[in-house]
Amino acid sequence: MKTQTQAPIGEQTKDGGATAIPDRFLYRAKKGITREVVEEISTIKNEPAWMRELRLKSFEEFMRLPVPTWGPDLSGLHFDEITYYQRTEEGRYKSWDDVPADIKNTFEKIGVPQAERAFLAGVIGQYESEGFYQKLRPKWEDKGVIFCDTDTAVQKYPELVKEYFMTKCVKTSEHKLAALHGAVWSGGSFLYVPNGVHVDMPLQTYFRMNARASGQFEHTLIIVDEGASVQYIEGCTAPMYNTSSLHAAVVEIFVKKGARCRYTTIQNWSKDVYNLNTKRSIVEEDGIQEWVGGSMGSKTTMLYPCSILQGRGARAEHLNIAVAGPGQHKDTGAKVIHLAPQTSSTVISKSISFGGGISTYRGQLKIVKGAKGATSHVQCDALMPDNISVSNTVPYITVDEEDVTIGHEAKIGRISEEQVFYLMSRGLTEEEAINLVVQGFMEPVIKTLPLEYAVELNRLIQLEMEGSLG
Amino acid sequence: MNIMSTLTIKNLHVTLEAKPILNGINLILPQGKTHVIMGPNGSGKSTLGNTILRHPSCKIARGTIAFGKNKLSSMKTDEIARAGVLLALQHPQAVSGVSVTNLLTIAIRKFSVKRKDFKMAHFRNDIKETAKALHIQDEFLSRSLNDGFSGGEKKKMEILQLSLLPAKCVIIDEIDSGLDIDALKLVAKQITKLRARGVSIIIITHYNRILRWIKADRVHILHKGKIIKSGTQALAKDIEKNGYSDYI
Repeated sequence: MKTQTQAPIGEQTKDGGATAIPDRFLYRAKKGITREVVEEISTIKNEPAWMRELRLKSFEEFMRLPVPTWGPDLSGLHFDEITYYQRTEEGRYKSWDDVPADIKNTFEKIGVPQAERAFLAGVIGQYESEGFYQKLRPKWEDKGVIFCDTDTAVQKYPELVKEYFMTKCVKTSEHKLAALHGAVWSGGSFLYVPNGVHVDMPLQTYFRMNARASGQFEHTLIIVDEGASVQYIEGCTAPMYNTSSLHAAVVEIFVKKGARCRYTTIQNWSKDVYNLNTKRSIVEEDGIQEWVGGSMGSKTTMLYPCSILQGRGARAEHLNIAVAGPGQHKDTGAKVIHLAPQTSSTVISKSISFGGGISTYRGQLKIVKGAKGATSHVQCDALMPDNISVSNTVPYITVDEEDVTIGHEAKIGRISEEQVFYLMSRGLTEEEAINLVVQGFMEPVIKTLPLEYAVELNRLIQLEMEGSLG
Repeated sequence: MNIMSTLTIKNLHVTLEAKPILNGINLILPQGKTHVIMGPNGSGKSTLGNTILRHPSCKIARGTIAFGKNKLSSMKTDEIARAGVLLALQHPQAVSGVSVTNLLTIAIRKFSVKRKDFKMAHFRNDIKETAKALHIQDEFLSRSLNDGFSGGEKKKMEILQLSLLPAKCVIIDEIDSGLDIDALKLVAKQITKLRARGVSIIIITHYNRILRWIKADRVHILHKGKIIKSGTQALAKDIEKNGYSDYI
């Protein structure tokens, strides 16, 4: 059944910190998607029948549903040219020492072990399609925290996964990419925090997509039980390849009564990736969901984290920064649905477009009848250092309740000659002056990140913008 | 500060948006001296300050500016600043998400590369102390610089920065506008400290007001882009009493 396929050696690139390394696969499914491919994935993973059925049902929905046309142009995306599943390593590693050297080098380049040593409570690295290294500090394991890759969770915690996996948050029938995801998903993180447990260090995973024209369909499922709290951090990077790749992840989060979840993601996809994700959280009474996102790289990104405020007093905070450089289209935003009284939401969306890049804020705010006392504030700030880039704001607002407070602000800023002169008159070079203005613009997002992520994001943005200004 | 540097402006002609603004300025400011440039609105005072720092819209048509060995007229703004020539702007820009502390700690590294005894912790402490002397509240040190600040707060921020960066020559553009009398006294005190440190100072102003607290070595009257009269502090007093009309 398993075959070893040695793929060509990946080129070294200078693409924004993403470095290509040799591909190594134990198994790679053939290109394109068929019922057989879906079945094969399930067989290889030795999945229970219910998951196999979920995959097959999703596959049928995928075949039936149309490609979404309401957003950016997806005509360059060819579902038949993508490899939907590939596996690199037989098992998973509990200790850093057991991880093969080339994989380790990649991770060391992107700072995972240091990060973990410094302050991260647990790490799941996703290399290609499956988490290959995982570890959770015993302190949290003893309190009943579960943090593993989602494939492992299907085997070890089937009741939990069966109950929550694409059943009540993101459904496979929602749109073509959710359906595709349901059919071919692989890897991702599963995180369960029991009642009243406060995980006071961030849990992190670092995703990476390395093979040419490979898909990455990781599924992240987070359940924060009553009164518990957790911070989950996900970083992504991919090297540069010519054939368009697809990333279609799903994140489902359940924030129970009085619980709190902060989901932070820094994505730096290579510039040929279609990054089309569905991320959603259902927030119960007095729960708090925070989304912090930095979207770098990729060819086209569609990403609108959604908070469904289901219980009274539930709260959502969305903080997002998107950077669109030459040839890139970032269609990002937030969706908030207020279903209960006294629910509140804040959305701060920041975008930088340069060198002809397009960034669009697409947001949806919905307040249903009966959600009395709901408050929502949306702020979109765009920074455009040149005249050839594009920034759009597309807010959809539906309010069926009168007793609400909502606000929407949108601002477009430029880096002015006066501002650059001012900073240069303090001894900064022109480049440093521009970088500082950009950093200042991002500050509301940066300050919510752990220090090394803040440093990394700043560095990535500087690299992206290098040579594109002036 | 051990090297004596004279600011020398020779026959300086400057245009702003193709309009001639400065028409042959000659000025010599020896190290450690304080000169005042006065003049009615539109006489070219701010253009002079901006040109010394090579603001991109001020085009030098003729003439030269030198500071000691440094030929400022062919240098970039940041190089001029790092040579120790600093400008307190009349209209300082707001920089969202960057506090004065952020800016100063970044800027000082540009100056302190060669200084072995430099300690960032000491510098941070200096920022606090100088802010205290200027009656700047702590929160202003961590807020976005000049973002929503009052006119007076902005001016104090300028003096704070000039006091903390290793300046050899400072140009202070209309620091007195928007300051109440108490704030003006505090600012004047800082400027006097700079003077005591041997820093050369050019004060650009409309009014004589600030000269009550600062001793000027020379006063120049600028009109239509030319220095039409130079004198002692008595000249400033006379202008306060009688206006510019006697001179222009």
